[in-house]
Amino acid sequence: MYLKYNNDENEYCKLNYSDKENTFELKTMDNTSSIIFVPKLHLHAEYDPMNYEMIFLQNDAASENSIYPIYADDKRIGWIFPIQALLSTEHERAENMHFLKYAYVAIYKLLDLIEDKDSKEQSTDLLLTDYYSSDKQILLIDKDNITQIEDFNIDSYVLSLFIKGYTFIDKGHSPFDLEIVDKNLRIKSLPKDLKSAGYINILFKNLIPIEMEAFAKFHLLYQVVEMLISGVFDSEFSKFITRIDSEADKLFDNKDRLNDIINEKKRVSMLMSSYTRIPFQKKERLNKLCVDILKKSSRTFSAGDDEADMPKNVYAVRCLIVHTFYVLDKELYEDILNDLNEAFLDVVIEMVQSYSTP
Amino acid sequence: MIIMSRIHDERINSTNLYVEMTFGEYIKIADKLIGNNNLQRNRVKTSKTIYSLLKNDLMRGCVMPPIVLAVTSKAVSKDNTNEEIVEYISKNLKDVLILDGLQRTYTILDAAKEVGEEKREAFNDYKLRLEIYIDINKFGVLYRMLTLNTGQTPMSARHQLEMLYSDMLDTEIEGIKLITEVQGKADADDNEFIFRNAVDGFNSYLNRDELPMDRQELLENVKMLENMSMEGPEQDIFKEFLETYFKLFIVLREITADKTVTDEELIEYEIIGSPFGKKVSKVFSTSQSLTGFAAAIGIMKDKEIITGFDDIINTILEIKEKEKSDEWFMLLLKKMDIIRSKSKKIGNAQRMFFKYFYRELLNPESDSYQKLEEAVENGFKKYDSQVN
Repeated sequence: MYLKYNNDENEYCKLNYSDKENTFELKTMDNTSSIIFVPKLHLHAEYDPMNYEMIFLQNDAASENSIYPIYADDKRIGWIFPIQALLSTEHERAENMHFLKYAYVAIYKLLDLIEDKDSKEQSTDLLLTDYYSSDKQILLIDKDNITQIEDFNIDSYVLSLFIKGYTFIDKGHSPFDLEIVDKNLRIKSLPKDLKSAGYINILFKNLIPIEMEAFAKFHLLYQVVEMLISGVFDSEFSKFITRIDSEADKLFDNKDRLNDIINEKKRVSMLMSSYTRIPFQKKERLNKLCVDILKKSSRTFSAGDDEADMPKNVYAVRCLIVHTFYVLDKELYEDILNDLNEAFLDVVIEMVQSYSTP
Repeated sequence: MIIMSRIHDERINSTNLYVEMTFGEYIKIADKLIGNNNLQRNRVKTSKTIYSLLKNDLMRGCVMPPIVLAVTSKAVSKDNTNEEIVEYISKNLKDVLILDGLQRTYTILDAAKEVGEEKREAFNDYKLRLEIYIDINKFGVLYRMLTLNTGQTPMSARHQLEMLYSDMLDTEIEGIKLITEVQGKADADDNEFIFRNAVDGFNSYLNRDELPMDRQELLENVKMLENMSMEGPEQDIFKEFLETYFKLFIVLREITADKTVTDEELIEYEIIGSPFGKKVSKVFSTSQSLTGFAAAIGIMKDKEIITGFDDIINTILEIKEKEKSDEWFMLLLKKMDIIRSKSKKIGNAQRMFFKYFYRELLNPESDSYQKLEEAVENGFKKYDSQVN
């Protein structure tokens, strides 16, 4: 840490905690000057802050009381709570010893992370809110606990956290409410077939939470579909190769199968029927909005078309936006596309969570 | 110690003595004076350069700006002679507070420890100027300190208040005793209030704001000073504020017959977390209630809905006559439970709710005037409309 006020020549770079006084002391190198920080909570300094990793998140839906032990794939990895929980004794965990141990670690690390030179004047009290927003969420991970999870990487849980309302970027926003069962936050990693699909994490970490124009959002969401159908291709193509290896004389019969594998529309259908499970209501909602937007763009459904074919209609919307974006009346489509994106996001999440190679 | 002159401060109706004493005389009394400032918390230890420079200069006989003291007792006044005043102060240091110059006092003591024997006599003979207020109106002195701050280490108004009114500790007002947190937990059932909560309330009255000031810079709080300038210097507003609040506290306790809420009642009202308090005494002795009340009264005064605390006292007595059930208290606990589960900052939200509750209850123009249950409901609606 480093702290220097613009009206004082002292440079505070050492941090100590006194259990007896329940105070932190920021000192100069030669120990001649110090600043005392008095936490509101009565902390328990049992844990070594070096054994913990701290990650900052956002969650618009979280309250001061949103303080939870966090379980990743049913293993306890730490706690998650807003910075406000460290500044108040009014919430339900203010006297919970387990929380107070983590609160100590968090405050220690927050003070230790301060790197500030000459931007502030020294005044009567050092406040954490001078350097951190009280709305910020802290995820404190116990480095020992995560060794129980094979190849633990918090990025694998980005989507699960996003569904609980947590985002990784400052201006990010998740449309989901924080739903808690049994006073613990439970998150799940990506399915094993997607563990190597790092770009999904990047999308949900850095891009999807950002507010943007509806058309851009649709493109981003469709990127997930693109990634998943590339997985479908790999899987189906491997099966195809295996099949023609054993059925070399039936190559001509299998030609149509190859066309299906190559055809994007068909792969989207395969994805949504065989590789993922999507609840009926979510399918219906997305489909209705796709049909609405297609009809608005003068697309007609002939007798042979199945208006209920959701994968086909999603693909059609994709084509509409990719190929005829330049002629679309943006204002006309903005509202309906916003609704469609909401429904699409729900479906994309269901697909990612349930994805597995048949 | 020699009193060089006296000036009557008309604005704060107090006598200001201009005093000279030697370093040696001051050092003899300094430890005792520092001990009287037991409510000051030392958050900032010495800034090396500023105070070490001062220390060295003191050892060389520099002249500092006057240290300002105040005699908190009424035993001496402008009617006493200089000799009587000097004698009283010498024998009653426990009644003397440092209003301005605590850090300089520490520095003089440091200098005294470091000065060599050969220079000690000369050091002790160096002169020091002080201003000593007697016949204090505390409120006025606070006002003076805030408007004419010459302090080198800024002290928040809240600390100033705690210091000025520290002689109210262990005294009773309307049967309520103020104690410090270090004395142990205040037992509201025994009519004990935490002094700091009372000061929070008064601070909220002065600022017309129920929210706590994390950091209140002395010269930045113009609005507070404007509010203070409207109060007459002869009134002890803090005492009036407390008397009024404590009357209300006692009445609310009587209305509920001091009952303790049972677990069954908590379940019946679907109060999920541990309740804000199980008795009126607990709930209404909190900082949140005091600050909400204070802000509500201050705002009503500004809007000329009331003229002063006397109006509130009459209202309180009428509530006592009208209100017979304790249903309102369960409703209030339910609202507090909702606030706790949903708020981004629980303490602030609670304060805001209390402010609207008291405005509904004590404002003659409101539909919920003198009706506790309605004041809870309508106060919550108003609070909710502000946050959502």
